[in-house]
Amino acid sequence: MRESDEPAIEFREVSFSYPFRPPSLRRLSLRIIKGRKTAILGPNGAGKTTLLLHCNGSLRPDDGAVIVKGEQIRYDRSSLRRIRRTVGLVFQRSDSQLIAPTVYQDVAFGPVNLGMESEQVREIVEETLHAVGLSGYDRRVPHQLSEGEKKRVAIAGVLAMGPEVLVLDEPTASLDPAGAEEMMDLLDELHERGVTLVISTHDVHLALGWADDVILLVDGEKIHQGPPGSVFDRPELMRQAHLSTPPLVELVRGLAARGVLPRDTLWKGVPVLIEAITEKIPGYKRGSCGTIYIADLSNGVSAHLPQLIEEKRIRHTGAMGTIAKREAARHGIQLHFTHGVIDKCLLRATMGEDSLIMTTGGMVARVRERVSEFSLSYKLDISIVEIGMPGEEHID
Amino acid sequence: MFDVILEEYASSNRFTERDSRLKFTLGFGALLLVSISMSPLAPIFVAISMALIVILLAGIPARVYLSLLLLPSPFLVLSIVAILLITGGGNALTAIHLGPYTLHLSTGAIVIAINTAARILGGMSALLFVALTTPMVELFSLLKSLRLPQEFIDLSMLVYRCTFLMLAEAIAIQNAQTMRQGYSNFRNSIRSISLLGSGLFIRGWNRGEELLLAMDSRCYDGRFEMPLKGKRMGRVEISLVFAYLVICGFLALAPYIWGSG
Repeated sequence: MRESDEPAIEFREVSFSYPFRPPSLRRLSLRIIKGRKTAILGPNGAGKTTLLLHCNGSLRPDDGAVIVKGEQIRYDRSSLRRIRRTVGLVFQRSDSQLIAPTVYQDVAFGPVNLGMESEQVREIVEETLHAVGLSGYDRRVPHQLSEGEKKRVAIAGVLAMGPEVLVLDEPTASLDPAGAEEMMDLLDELHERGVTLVISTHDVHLALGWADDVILLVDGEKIHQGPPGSVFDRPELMRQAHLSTPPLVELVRGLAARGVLPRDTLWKGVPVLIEAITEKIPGYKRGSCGTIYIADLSNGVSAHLPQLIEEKRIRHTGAMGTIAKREAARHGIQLHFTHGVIDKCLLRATMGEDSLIMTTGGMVARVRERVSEFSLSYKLDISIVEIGMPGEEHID
Repeated sequence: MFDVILEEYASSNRFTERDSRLKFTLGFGALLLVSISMSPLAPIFVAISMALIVILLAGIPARVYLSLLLLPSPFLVLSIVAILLITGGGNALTAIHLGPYTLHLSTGAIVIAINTAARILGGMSALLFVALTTPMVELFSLLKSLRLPQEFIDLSMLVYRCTFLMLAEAIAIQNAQTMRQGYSNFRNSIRSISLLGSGLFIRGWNRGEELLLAMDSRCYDGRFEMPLKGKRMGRVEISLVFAYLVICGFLALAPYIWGSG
């Protein structure tokens, strides 16, 4: 791991029970590492929500301690305010999180209560709505928004307070599959900006592809913590946590058991899996690889871009991040991929097809890194062309 | 459900973003003049002009407008009948014999009835103008500019937000009951409606606790942001509203000045 192992949130022997109920958390100890994406997996009633409510001091443990940024939570008013500014909590039900009659007021709620001036509040709200892809929604009323939009407003309301850790309870629960993938894409974007993320879910597939660190929670107890591979590789843990094994995991496990693949193949993504399998096929002939164009849309779409797509006959286009998606939509560029973009473009490239990835800021570097790493480790000749970067190739 | 429909139109018509103070002045100014008017002239003018303004300028569908305007029609019919038969003055036109009683229909009664009907229509139109062009959210800014206590405004904003949540809950409960024959006869209906009431109370209570948690999680410190302000009012708009009210005022007060017949 590149980042340090400094915990953002730490639970020490935390026990908690609701009145007249069996304990929800039983001497729970865990560490949520700063800068990582942590998924808390567990069946219904395992105590996931209860655990998350402890992270920002909404619930107070009966026993044990919760430590945020090295400091034990104290439950007086001013300490709680500080904690809640550091740790933002997004509820499962957006409706219970949205308080104000308009989107603008709702996102402004936190900053106003933190005592910011109205000019500053306006700036922050605008910025935050932009970041979650809801610019221009200021005057809308929550009950007229879709479930996905409500979730984004709820996230914006928390982001507006500038949290270092964002805790989301079942962020994809009420979203359709595409909406869920886009939500995860948004979370990745926030992570890219340095926010530590914690989500609770029982969607194994989602946790598998997204998390750096998985915590398995059963009956208020942590039964396992580790990278996704370490969880999904152990059927007995999965059974204990009432989780189903995704078919893809079964496939790799089966192939690994037959000695065809190394066990860790799956955790590196589908393109790696396919490369590892095709490598084993005798007589498999690979054609030359395609090109992946990377466009930085931080400063909008350059006039050349649609022209380039036309000229180079780029068949597949994808956008990563809300800003890139919106910019592309604004300029009428059709998007084939809006989530899992890098993997999908890698797959096209290995089949000799060209694709374009539109994104912004720091994510450009991440795309380049991923592509060249993949290209190198399988000795492929995927070429990368960056567009719209100062001093780089310019297309006329 | 009318309140929801009203709100939908109010927040998506061509007048939505106009200054709410101006819309209120126009609506309530007209209402005031309608109610002090002696002749039916001013109310009829308001009824017709407001209908045109709301349908043609603000872009509210005529069907919606008419169905809203007809809401008080049972009240209108009943009161007109009562006024026609009970009030007197002028010359008697016909007499209706009901056993030992005799009811007279007189010219004076007809004048009063026409006046009343016109006032109801005019007043209703003026109110509908405000209701259909001003979203609830604008009202909060208006309350603020009327210097009402902030606590009152904050509470009304919370109530407003919660109304829609409670409405959704109520509809969900009612659907669940209807699916299981909850309203199949009178007896069941009574039982179902009481269950709905108590269910709603409990859900409302839970909602309240969730709301508290949500507000605490976001560092609530007694402050609530006001909605963004709409467009500032322009000179043209102000003069148009003023001109309209002057015409209304003239029509309403003319009979006082030149003496009514």
